[in-house]
Order: sequence, then C-alpha cells, then structure tokens
Amino acid sequence: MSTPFWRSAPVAEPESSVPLRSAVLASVLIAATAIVNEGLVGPAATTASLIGIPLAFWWSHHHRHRESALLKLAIAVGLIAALIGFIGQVRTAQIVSALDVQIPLAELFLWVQFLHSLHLPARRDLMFSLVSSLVMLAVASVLSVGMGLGIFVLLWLGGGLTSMHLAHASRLRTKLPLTDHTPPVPRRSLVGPAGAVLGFSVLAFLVFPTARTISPIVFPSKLSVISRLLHEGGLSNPSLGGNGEDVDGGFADRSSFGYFGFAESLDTSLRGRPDDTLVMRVRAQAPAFWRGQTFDRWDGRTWSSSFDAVVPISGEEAIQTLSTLGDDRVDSPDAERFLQTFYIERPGPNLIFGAYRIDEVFFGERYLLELEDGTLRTGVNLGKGSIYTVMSEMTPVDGNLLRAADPLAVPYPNVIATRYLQLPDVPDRVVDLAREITSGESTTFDKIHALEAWMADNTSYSLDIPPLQPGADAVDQFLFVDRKGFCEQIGSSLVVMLRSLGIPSRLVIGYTPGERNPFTGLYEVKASDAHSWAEVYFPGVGWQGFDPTAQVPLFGGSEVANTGSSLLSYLAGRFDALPQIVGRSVRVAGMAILVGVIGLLSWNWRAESRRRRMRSWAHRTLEAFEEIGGRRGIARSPADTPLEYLDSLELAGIEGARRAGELITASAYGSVDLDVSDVGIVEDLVDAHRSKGRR
Amino acid sequence: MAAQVAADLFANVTRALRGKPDEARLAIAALLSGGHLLIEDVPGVGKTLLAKAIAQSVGGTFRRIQGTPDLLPADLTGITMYRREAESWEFQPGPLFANVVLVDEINRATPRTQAATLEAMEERQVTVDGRTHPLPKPFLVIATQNPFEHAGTFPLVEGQRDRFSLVLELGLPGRQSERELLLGQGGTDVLRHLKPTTDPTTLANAISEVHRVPVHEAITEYVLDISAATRSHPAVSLGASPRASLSLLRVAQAHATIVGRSFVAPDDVKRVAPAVLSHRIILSSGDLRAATAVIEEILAKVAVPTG
Repeated sequence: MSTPFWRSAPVAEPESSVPLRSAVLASVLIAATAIVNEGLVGPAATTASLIGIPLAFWWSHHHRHRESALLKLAIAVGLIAALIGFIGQVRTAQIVSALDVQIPLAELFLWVQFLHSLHLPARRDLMFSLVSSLVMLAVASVLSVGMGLGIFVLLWLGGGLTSMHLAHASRLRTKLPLTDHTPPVPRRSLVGPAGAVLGFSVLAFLVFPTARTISPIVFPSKLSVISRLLHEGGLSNPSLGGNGEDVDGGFADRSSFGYFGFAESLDTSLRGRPDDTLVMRVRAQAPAFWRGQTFDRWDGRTWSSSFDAVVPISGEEAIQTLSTLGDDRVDSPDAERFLQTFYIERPGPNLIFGAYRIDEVFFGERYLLELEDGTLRTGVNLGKGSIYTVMSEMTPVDGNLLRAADPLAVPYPNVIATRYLQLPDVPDRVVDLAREITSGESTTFDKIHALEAWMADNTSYSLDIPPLQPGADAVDQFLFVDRKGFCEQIGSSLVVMLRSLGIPSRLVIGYTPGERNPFTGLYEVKASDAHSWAEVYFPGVGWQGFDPTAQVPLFGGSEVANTGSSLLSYLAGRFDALPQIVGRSVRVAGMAILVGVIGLLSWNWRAESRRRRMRSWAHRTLEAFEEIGGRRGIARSPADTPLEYLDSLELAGIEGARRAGELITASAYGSVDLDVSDVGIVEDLVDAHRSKGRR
Repeated sequence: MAAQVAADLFANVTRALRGKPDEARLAIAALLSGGHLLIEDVPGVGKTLLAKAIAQSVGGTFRRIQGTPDLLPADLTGITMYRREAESWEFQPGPLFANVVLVDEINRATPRTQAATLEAMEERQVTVDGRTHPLPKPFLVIATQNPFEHAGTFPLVEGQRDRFSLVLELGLPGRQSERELLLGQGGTDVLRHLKPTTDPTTLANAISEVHRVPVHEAITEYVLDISAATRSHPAVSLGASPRASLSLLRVAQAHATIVGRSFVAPDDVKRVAPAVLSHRIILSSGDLRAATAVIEEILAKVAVPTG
C-alpha cells in the first residue's frame, strides 16, 4: 500500500441509519444524565457528557464514510489523559470512603463515553456505545440511593430496546441486498426476550434471599453542612421547626415534622406525633433499632440527661468512640461487626444514629462530640445528602446470659446505681404494682418479662390519649387512669417500675428500623418511625434494650426474608387503600397471570430462537460442505439446492452427505426442530472430512 | 392425512403406469394442488391410461368426453328439458358433473366447446338457461391432446393453457416398461382391477390440507425469482403470470406432500417448475416445445436462497 498511514481510509460498512444513531444517542444521554443527576461529578465531565456527546455523535455521523488514523490517535491520547486524570484524582484525594473513588470513576466513564462517541462509523461501534451506556447506568445505580434512578432505567430500557430493534432492521437490510423492500422484523423478537427477561427477574426476585447489601470495605461518608452549631456540643434539631439553639441557621423548612424527643429533654405531657416525612435511608445488612440518645433523669413528667460534659473525639479515618458508663462487653467469638450507612434526607437532630454498640464512625468531618452515656453529636447541622457510616459491635446474648448477669445479684459500680436508679417521689401504688407483678420472679431478666407481659395484657397502645393533668405523675396516669398510651408512656413506666425494684435502667430515643425498600435495598426511616424504649444494665454484659410495644430483638441474627416476599409486602404497603381480602386475591391472581404469561412468552421465544439458531446452523453446515466439496472439485452453483448439491457429494463418495442434505433442507426451509443426535452425526461428518482435507 | 392419500394414490397409479414415477408424481401433484391436468403426447404412450388410473383411484364419479368437431357446449354442461309426468322444466346435468372428467383429444373440439369446458374448469360451476349449477367437489379435469397432429384440430390458445396447473409430456416408455406391457404387467389389464384408494370427501380435505403446507419466506422469494426470470429472459416474449407463480407454489406444496415432506423445499419448486411454467410462457420464436428448455435454463441460473 502506498497510502501513508495517517490518510483516511474508507470504512467497510458505514451505518447510515439516522434513527438508529439517534436512539443510541438517546440511550447514552439518558445514562449520562443519570450519573450527572446524582450531583457528584464535576462541571467538566458534565459538560463533556451532556453537550460533548451529542456533538461527537453528530461529528461521527458526518465522517462515517472515512476512517482517520489521526482521529484514532487523538482518541487514544484522550483516553490516556482521562486515565491519568483519574489516577491523579484517586491518589491526591484522601480516600476515606469508597465514595471518594466512585466519583472519579464515574467521571472517567463519562470521558470514555465522550471520546468513544467521536468515532462511531459502523453499527458495531454504535452497539458498543449502547453497551457502555448500560455500564454507565450501573455506575449511576452505585451512586444512587433513591428511587429516582428508576425513571432513568425505564427511559434507558425504551432507548436501548429501540436501538436494538433498529440495529436489527439495519442488519437485515445490509444482509439481504437483493430485496429492495425492508424485510419485516418479527415482532416476537422484541416481545419474547422482554418477556423472558421480566420473567427471569421476577423469578430471581422471588427466589434469591435478600442481598446483604454491604461489604465491610465500603465506608461511605459525605458532608453536606447546613451550618455550624453556635454552641459546640449542644443539641440542635431543625426538624422541630425553630426549636433548638440554631434558630438563625437558615433552614429551608421551618415547619415541624420531627419527633420532639430528639431534644435536651423529653416532656411526656406533650402530645402530637411526627408525620411520615422521610428523614433518612439506612443501608444495613439487617434491620436494627437506630439509637439516638438516652435519658437518665426523671421528674415524674419529663426526662432529661444529667450528662452535660461533651468530649471531642476525632480520628484520621474512623472515629473511635470512647468507652462509656455501663459499656460492659462480653468476650464472645460470635461478636459481629455490623455496618450501617445513613443517608440523610431531611435535616434533623445533630445526633449520630446507630445500632448498639457503636465502635467506629466514618464521618466526613472526622470529628464528633461524645457524651458520657455514649450519645454522639455532630458539630454541624447535617443537610440532605450527608452520609455517614457506623460500625457497631454486636454480641449475641440470650436469656441465660442475662439471668447470670443479674444486676440484683452481681455487684456493679456505684456510679451506675446513683445515675440509673434515681427516682423522684413515685406514687406508692406504682411501686406496689411493680412488686406485685414481679413477686414470683427471681431474676431481673424474668422480672422485666413479667412487667412487659403485664403491660401487654393490661394496657393498650394508642396515639389518642387525653392530656396529662397538671400535677399528675405521667407513669401513675398511664398505669392506673388511662391504661393506654404510646411509646413514651410505656417505656417510661417500664423504666420507673424497674428502678423502683432496684434495677438500673434508662430511656432510649431513636428510630425503629423503618421499611425496607426492595428496589434500593435500603431501610426508609420516616419521622413517625421515631421511638423510645427502655434499656437495662446487666453487669458484664452492658445495656440491653427492652420494649413492651415493639419487641426489641435480642441480637442474634435476624430473619432473612427473600426478596420476593419483601417486594410483595412493600408493594402491598403501597396499596393499603384497597380492601385487604380483595387486594390480596387480586394480587395473587395478578401474580399468577403474570407468571403464566411470562412462561408462555419465554417458551415461545425459546422455540423461536431455537429455530433461528437451527436455520443459521443449516447455513453454516452448508458452507462447510461447500468447502469440503470445493476441495474435491465439486463447487456448488448458486442454483443448486442444498439437497442437489449434497446428493452430488454423496455420489462423489462422501457417505452420509445425502442425509445431511435432507437435514439441512428441513432445518433451513421447514423450521423443523432437528434431533440432537442427527445434528451430531452431521457435525461429525463435517469434522471428519475437514480434518481429512487438512492432512 | 394428505401424505397418506398421496402415497396411496401414487402406489395405485404407478401400478398401472409402469416406468413413469416422475410423471405419475406430477399428475398427482396437479390433482392435490386442486388444479387441472393436460397431458400432451403422441397416441399410444398411455395418456388415457394415466387419466383413467387417476380417476379410478380417486373413486367418486368419472366421466369421459371424446373431443370431436361436432361436440356442442350443451353436450358437456347439460340441458333443461320439459318433464311431461312432472309437468316442469328440469335440468339434466351433462358429463361435466363428475369428480374426474377425462376430455380426450380436447384440441379436436371446436373453440366454442373448448371455451365452455375451460370456463367450467375455472369457475367450478356451470350456468345453463340463466341458472347456475355448482360442479361436484373435488372437480378435476384431465385433458389429453396430441400436439403433433394438425389436421382438423383447434390448438388451445395461451390463455386457455394457463387454466391447467401443469402440462405433462409422457414420452415413450423405457424398454423394460414396454416389455412389462407386452407381458401383460401393468397397462389396461391392471386398470380393470384397480380399486379406489380414497373418496371425494377425503380428497377434498387433502387438497385443503396441501394448501396449508408451510412455505418458508426463502421459498416464496425463490418462486418470485423464477417468475421474474421468465419475464426478463431474452427468448421469452410473454413471461409467467402471477397465476402461474401461485400455481407453481401450490403444485410445489403438493409435490412436497407426495414425497413425504411437511414443508416445501426448493427441490419441490425446481422439480415441478418445467411442467407448471413451460406451457404458460410464449417464446419470441413461437416454438412451443422449446419452452421447457428455456425453463430448465432459468432453473439452472436462478440462485436458491439458503436462508
């Protein structure tokens, strides 16, 4: 060749279909927007993807007929530059969390996509773009924690399917140049695979156990600071609408939706419950109660904390928490590290939530404030988008262990007794009731259970209770007058009765696990999931939660449901308005119909694809025989039918060729499903004669 | 079912007509495709034998018409006559009202009578004195003619030849077949003992089943390619009509059934194409017999789509 290498060369099969190009471009843009929408990538990569990619598509469409070596060189240089940029970013950034790597990685993907878009002469290149846009969508899903990505996935599915359909049509056009009409594209080629994919994913959803979504090397954290607290170490809760000290913090939302318990004190005479605002999402391998803070001082109506000294704690990567009062640990080989990542959706109290007992916190500021009871506060108000990860150590406990570590029998530090046995003047009948209920039980553990059982039998849970009369004792009012109340009344009564029996205990404020969203795998915690319950000190074991209303599980592993059932219950939760029975039967019937339709579609599709594969088998095999015959000087004229040609091969001494001809004919024109053994015989024949020819 | 009917017919017909399996197959293909058959050849090669063998194998009613110049259309279709005892006009059906009608030496009949016959073949009904009478189902016309005889004949024109699904040339028998004939094996002696292998209803069902034999789109393309090639061939002044294409496909479907295939192979199309097409094209030279050679030439050129 005399042409110098840098001169452009013609492209073998340029793709001229504008609809196909547009569909691929749409898919790529949808995927890029999904990444950009997470708001994490820089302006350069954003511009390159949202403006650069369409321009690059336009450019490569206009230059599809010529292939320029210079352009390829430029793309290669660009790719290397992007890679160097990525490595540089990763090296210079202080990698605290995996998120710090994911963002440069996402940017790298955007750059690669942009550079690739500059050179898309053929259909193959467009299909590569489509595939890499799917990878980009996967990157976006790694970055995303919300349901917003679902829209992009649906849009991309539309774009992707259209692209594949158009690519198929375009392929048929080029493969059959003799026919001047566009060959009909079988409709089934779309419906079948789509149905099969849907079917398989539903099946997979139903069968696979809920994924343990977190691996111990990922510690996401991200800061989205609204404002610093004026009084460092203090408590602020913007979700209470101006309560807390940081009134001038500039919160967007002043209305109160949060739980009033996330404050310096908890007044049990207050009524009114938080609403269903989504406050945070939690990625965790199992549900747990997300603790916020504890109260130890009770005055008959209000809980408060006697701890006001805050200790700053910090760390380079993980912030280690301090050992706090009553923070005893059992040495157990079964102790498990339990990771939870919290994604803040609405500004709330500046508390670090987590399952008991928090060991390490991965927090963007690398600096926290800890109270003596283990409550962790941040120095800033966290806005939407803040992320922190908590590592808790969970030791399995059971009734026997707790019975052995009885605070009534085992000595424990005095300082715990003074704090956690403190009581104001409690009405006598409350103390008498506690004694009466527990008189038959000898250990603390059993006494607690007796109290819980009594409350379950004699009181009821209700959000609708009368206001607390002035001067009345909240516990007395609940146990003897109202006999109904919500978690504060129930939890407070348990703590007060336990203390009257000499059992050290406290009230904890936090959130119940929330509802697991099967689409994202995250627990969605609403303001109304706020909860309070009792914790009892067991010497040598530590604090153990007890809750007469919502059974705090003793740690020891939770049930792992399969994804399908959680999906169903999640969806069922969305359709609560439907009458239960009708809803359930409709759901069951709908599910059955869906499975049936999917089964039919996939069966149909399987048969069709098998036939198609067989037809192409016929074509391949015929070509193989043409090669064999060609070596013997018997060429196939285009006007020879496969059967005629193989007949002539049989006459030339290739035994079995006639039979092969019949099979090829049946497969090519009859849409006949061939027997596997027949196919095997023919392929053996081809192999035998091929190797003979080579020798 | 159609395959069984075809196999039985084939076995029966070849018992009478020795040494001509391909011709027998084509004749049965014409029958199963629901079309009509024209047998052209010199006398004494078994034209009538084949027609009678088919007629007897099919069962049902059989009529034979001898083509003569004084044959009138009414002799075939029937007439309306007055019945004295019933005191009413009554239609008296002619010999066309049969499942199998053999028209011997059709080119000896006058063009007027020929036209009436061919009209009935196409319409499958007869109109006499303003009243329409449907012909029985199935209705198969087997016509014979001697194309080499010219005196006192009225050759069928192209449009009339087009009504026949295929035209068969029997040719002289091989020496072995001729010996068998001399020894009394096959031929008219066998014909006497030939039993029907099917009945009109079964045959009608078999015909509609043949119409449903699956045709791959590559086969459709092949048929279209062949028809297109006849139209663009330099020696041809009038190529195959769309009716010819349809006939080719139908006869190929029937042929596939006879050879025991559940689908149409390009081989079926190739095998029946000369018989189906050669009488439907007009060569510039006007030579009728060269047409078969032209079709053969086209078949050797048109590429077989291999899917």
